[in-house]
Amino acid sequence: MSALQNRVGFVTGASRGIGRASAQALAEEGVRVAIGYREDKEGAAAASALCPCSIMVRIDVTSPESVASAFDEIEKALGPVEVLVNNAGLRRDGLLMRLKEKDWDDVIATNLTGAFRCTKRALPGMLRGRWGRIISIGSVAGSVGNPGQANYAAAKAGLVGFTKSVAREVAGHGVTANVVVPGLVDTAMTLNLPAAQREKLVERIPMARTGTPEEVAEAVRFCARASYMTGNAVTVDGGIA
Amino acid sequence: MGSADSNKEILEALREVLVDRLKVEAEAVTPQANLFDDLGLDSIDLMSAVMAIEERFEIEVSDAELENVTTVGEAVEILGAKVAASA
Repeated sequence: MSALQNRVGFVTGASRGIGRASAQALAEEGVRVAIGYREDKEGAAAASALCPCSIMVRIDVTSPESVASAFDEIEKALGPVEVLVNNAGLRRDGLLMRLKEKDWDDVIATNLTGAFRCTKRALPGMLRGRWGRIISIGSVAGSVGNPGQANYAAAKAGLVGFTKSVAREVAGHGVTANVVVPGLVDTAMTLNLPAAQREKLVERIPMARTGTPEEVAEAVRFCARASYMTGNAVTVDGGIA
Repeated sequence: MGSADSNKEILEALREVLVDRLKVEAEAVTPQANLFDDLGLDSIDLMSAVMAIEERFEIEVSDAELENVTTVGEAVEILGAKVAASA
């Protein structure tokens, strides 16, 4: 039996891409997963259908009220969240000189502040149970940078510092915090990159191909199972970084 | 509710939280006990215990107020004053 059997998981942004694949990987380990979605209810339903014992929960990580009610809902239906996957994210690319304040703010609010909010809400329950896994989805853009993604890279690099600090705060209490750092992965979020930019990015990948959400989800599964790894950034990028 | 009564109630609640959640021996939880040296807690343990008491008594204590707390009795004093004020 998996060490994760019957644990309660919550994946934000789980209606598609890396979030959906992560939810599925956790479900395969016996985790009862809450599928977090903001707008794509249909995608969330499809993800939920792949995960036995899952529920669907609407959450907008930029809203403190929405985060509170989502966690309340999960606690009522499944129990306190023990495996949190901070995956909800978005991109608003633009060269820095022309980057709008709003594009900066929106990206930080979802990718970084959203993770702070969910982690903060989940921690007391994890500490109470003396067991927890916090897994945030970063990006290789946060470690090597990417033109046009100053906001996204800043937020994703921020997740690493955030995670390392939280990891130290709770290390003696059975709770680990790690970041999974994907490179270029085939998801709806990257498929809309301009073809030329995409080609250039692929040229930089030693493995000469993009990754799949499932390949990233393997690292999420590993972080959920691993008991002696914390404050770590696990890179899954075909060799870029 | 007088402050003495609420302090007694808080001590009981704190003892319960420390025993149930943090596996501290019940008889070790005395007002004189040092939370860190005697009971082996760290700041995260103290925070979790305080949050449990906050929830139970519907009070709110700031981090600054807890900064200099080292004994069970000091924690009870601060929490008890909050409960008395909110009653």
